[in-house]
Amino acid sequence: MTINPQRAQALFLAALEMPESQDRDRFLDRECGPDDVLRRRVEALLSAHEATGGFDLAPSGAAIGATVDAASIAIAGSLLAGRYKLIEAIGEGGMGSVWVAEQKEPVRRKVAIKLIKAGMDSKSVLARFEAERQALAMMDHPNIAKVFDGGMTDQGRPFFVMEYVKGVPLTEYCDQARLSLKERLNLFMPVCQAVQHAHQKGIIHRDLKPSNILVCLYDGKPVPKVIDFGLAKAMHQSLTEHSLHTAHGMMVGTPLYMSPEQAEHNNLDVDTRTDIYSLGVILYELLTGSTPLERQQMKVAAFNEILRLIKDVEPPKPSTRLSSSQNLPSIAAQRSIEPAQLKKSLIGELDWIVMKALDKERSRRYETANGFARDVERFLHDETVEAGPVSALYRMRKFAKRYKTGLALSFAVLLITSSSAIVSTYWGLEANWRRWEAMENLREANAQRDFAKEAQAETVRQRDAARGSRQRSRAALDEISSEVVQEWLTGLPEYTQKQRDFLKRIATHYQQIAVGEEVDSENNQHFAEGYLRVAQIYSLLGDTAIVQQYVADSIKHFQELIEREPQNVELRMQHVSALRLQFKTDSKSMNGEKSDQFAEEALRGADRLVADFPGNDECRLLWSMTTIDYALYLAYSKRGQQGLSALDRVAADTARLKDLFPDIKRYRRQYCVYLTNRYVVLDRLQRRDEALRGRLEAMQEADRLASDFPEDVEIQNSAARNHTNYGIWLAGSEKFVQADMEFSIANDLQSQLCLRFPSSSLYLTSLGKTQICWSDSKLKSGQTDEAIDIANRAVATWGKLTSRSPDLGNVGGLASARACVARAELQNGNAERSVLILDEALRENQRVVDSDARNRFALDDKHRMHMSRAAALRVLKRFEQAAEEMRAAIKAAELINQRVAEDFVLLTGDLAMSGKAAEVRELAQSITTEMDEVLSKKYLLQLARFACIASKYAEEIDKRALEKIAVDALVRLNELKVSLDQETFTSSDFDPIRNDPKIFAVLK
Amino acid sequence: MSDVTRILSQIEAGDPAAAEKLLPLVYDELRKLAAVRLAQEKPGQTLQATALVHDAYVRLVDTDTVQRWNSRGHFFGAAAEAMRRILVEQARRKAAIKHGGDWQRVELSDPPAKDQANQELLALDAALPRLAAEDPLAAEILKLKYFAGLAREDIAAILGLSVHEIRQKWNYTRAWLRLELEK
Repeated sequence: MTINPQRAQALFLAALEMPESQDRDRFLDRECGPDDVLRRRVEALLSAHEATGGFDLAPSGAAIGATVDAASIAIAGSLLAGRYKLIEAIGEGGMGSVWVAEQKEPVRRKVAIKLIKAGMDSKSVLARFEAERQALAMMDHPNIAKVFDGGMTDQGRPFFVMEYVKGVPLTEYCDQARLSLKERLNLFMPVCQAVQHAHQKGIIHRDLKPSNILVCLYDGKPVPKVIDFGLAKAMHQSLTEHSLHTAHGMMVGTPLYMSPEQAEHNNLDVDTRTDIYSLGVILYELLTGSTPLERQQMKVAAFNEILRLIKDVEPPKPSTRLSSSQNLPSIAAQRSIEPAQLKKSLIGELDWIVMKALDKERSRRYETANGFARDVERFLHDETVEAGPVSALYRMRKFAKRYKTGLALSFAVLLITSSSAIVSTYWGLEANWRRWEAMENLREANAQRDFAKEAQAETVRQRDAARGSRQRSRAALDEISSEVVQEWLTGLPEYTQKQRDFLKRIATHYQQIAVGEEVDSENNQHFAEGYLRVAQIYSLLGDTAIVQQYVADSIKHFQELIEREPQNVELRMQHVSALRLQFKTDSKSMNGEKSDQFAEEALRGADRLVADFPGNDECRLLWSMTTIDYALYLAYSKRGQQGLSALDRVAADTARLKDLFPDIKRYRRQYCVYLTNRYVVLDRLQRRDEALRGRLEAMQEADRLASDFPEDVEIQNSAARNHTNYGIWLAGSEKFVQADMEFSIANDLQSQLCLRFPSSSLYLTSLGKTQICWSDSKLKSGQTDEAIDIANRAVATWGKLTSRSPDLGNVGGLASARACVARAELQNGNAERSVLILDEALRENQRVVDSDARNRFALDDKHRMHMSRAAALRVLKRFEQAAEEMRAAIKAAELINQRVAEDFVLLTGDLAMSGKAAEVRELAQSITTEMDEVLSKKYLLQLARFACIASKYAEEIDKRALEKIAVDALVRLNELKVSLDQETFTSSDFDPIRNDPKIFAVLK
Repeated sequence: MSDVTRILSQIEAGDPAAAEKLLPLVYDELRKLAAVRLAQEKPGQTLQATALVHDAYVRLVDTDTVQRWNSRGHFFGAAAEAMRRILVEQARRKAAIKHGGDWQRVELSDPPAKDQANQELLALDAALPRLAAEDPLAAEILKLKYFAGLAREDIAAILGLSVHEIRQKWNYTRAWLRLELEK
């Protein structure tokens, strides 16, 4: 009897879920019945599972053993370069194996030989070594092991010959000898001095770590010696790469000592301060028994994460590390001190000294290794040290700074969100963003996991921190979130991953702070505020579920607080802000059921606020904002009239605030928001004329705002955007002269912004879009030459963007711009050129489609490009190719669920002109049956005409069918009350049916 | 751009033929890398195969160009298979040396544990096709875990399954393997 393995597996997994053995037995009794073989198999699997103890099989421990490459491994007794006889392998460094060797000439002595792994570019290693050899020879310091020589083995492996130091790695020695803190520091200082000496000779070590600092005993006295100077440079491999390999292999652990600037990808800008950092790590380890980033962390993190940890994660202070260490007793024992005493001796100055050396920003580290040593000495002599505590505020600022740079660089966002039928514009950025986001999700998940770890460590630190410092962190956090989040980020329509990560971090910090606080009334307010902040941040990130959860919590806390202190205006305002956020979030979400209720609550809250604090302008502003949101909500839920009256209530106040305080930006902006929403509401009420007037008024106000606040780029940009949008609207209404003016204003404004902020892609993107729309508008109004000119400018703009960052949004924009040029060229009579340009545009477009097969903007573009190409080919009388293009166009349109009657009719024409009568018949029949409803008058006439043309080439059967199609189409046209004038019908194309009795009747 | 990066980009761009080119390339690269790495180890020291796979990833794949998990999956899938071949090849050769079949015999102070590891490896490799016949997914997971050293979360992402599903499958695979190797 055979077993069904799937069944056995299912039973095994089900049984595993049952912790009690009786349950398992009963379950197996029932499931297996009399099938003993199956039962035995499942039981065997279960006991095998138990025997593994739930532990994972170690990933292939079967290592690549030495035998694989036995031939290339150095063998004792062999002679290198005719001078050095290898005696014994004594260990391995990061770069290769180390041997004791005997030098024969010119002097007979024992040396250490570092044999570099094979496969490296030996010649360039040696060349670099030679370059530094002079400098290396200049080094003469009792704490530096000399480098004598370098060469190449017969097999082409580089090797280096050094002074033979018979010693133990620094940390190992200190622990073995149970050196006290003081003794450790005394041993550390000469290391600094040695490094200083090398720095003075222009040599940076770049790979300082305990295994490169050997302690040997001279006359019973321990003397540290730094080895491997100059080797890292000669190897020239980016330490990043190298060290990570070893980290993942055997935890040799070089990245643990790597400075943040070394962890920077491809960073060549490494100076002496990188050694200071590594010395800081070594001191950290000497004091606490662990490196700032723990070995364990390194083992579990992925490469990029390791780099990120080094670059971004602030290590805990040495004393903090000790408090969280489980091995504190043994660490203390190795330092011949009581655990509590050890911790106490680190708090304060030693913490500061170490943290100064470990600053991520190298300008804040000790300037020289000697400076470092001197501070250690000062500590030993009970003098005031140079290093001081790092304030929480500073840490937060530094954090913000790091991200601000990222923010500034990553402004690349789409601006115009309205669309128009006449313009083919590349709106794909937004969709791309979503895709990329999805792609990033996994990576993000990892980052989050890591961040959680970081946050945990942060909690431990926080708990230790005094309450005062917590308040300071809060203040710093508030400062950052108001400044960075509100000033920098709220204006942006979309965020990059970096920006999202940043926001999440801020939110998490708030969450962390809330966790650490005890419950009392003051902290209750912190809870409420913290939750509100978190909700606001997630609102920016678009995660409505989290927003609702936090905002509800915050509202609850605020209500409790307000009951006690109804006159606390700050609480009241925050409460209304929370209510407003709750309502806005719900009304925007797909399944917001409580929107009405939330809207009313928010409005009531705002009304009460102004009633209680009538003279407080900030309250009035909040009231106005809430009311305008409410009005817009009503307008979109088909209660525009109510919405309009709500708007009227705040109109006077909003205008008053703006007039009273013309230099307060947010009052002014709020007035713009009011005007804009007003015309949107009017537009929804179909009061077009008033809407148009309102639109103009809103635009004027936005322009005024822009000229009053020339430094506020967001205001500038949104003013320019208004003009583009208005231009699109005008062009859509065929008011080309006005449209032209608007586009040209937008173009000028955006060009200026680009000049002012040359590194920002945001404005360049806006400019590129304006130019595309403008060119199409020109083309539509028949100004072909100008259309070509502007389209070429658009190509230049998008080309610049693409060369800066070849992301798909930019590539798609470039393709769109090219298509613009092609359309204009075609209209100008240059069909050949048009075809060529479209070839290129389609290739670029294809790149976007390839990477994102459902990008509807790209597919829409593709559709139009194929249509344009078909049109050009038609002009060139290459009808068969034109038909192919039309097929491609139809295919692209179908991918976005569009079937355009025009496409099919055009395809019919191309097929007719290529003489493919049978295909024309088939297609025309299917068009008339499938698309009857949508076939407009124009197309019916064309269809009839194409059927007639095709019938001239057709076989007898097709001929009659085609004639019937043509006649039917014309009859139908007649039914639609379109009179067929003789003139239309005079074309000889219609000859085949001219004498048809039905037509005869129609024409009469 | 490395060849591997280019192929992964082609896979991302939807070129199915590109995937076939990956294995030989990765195999070749891993072998080279293994040889290079080995040269830097002292005798008796071993090099973890899984670390090598990760090394190869860092060296060969430009993560700025290759962004999708799908193509990472292709890479690790190919790397796991390549590493399996390399290890098996090596284990066989090693067995041959033990039997005196290789004239290039050198004195090596290998700890006996490693010998055992080699046998385990060969046994595991022999069991792999049987597992694949019974449950291809389990075999794939085993390969990714054992030869490419991926964490459950990564395997889940690559295979498009939940971590829970991977954990279950892994529980079974482990038990199955134990029974198989005890035979």
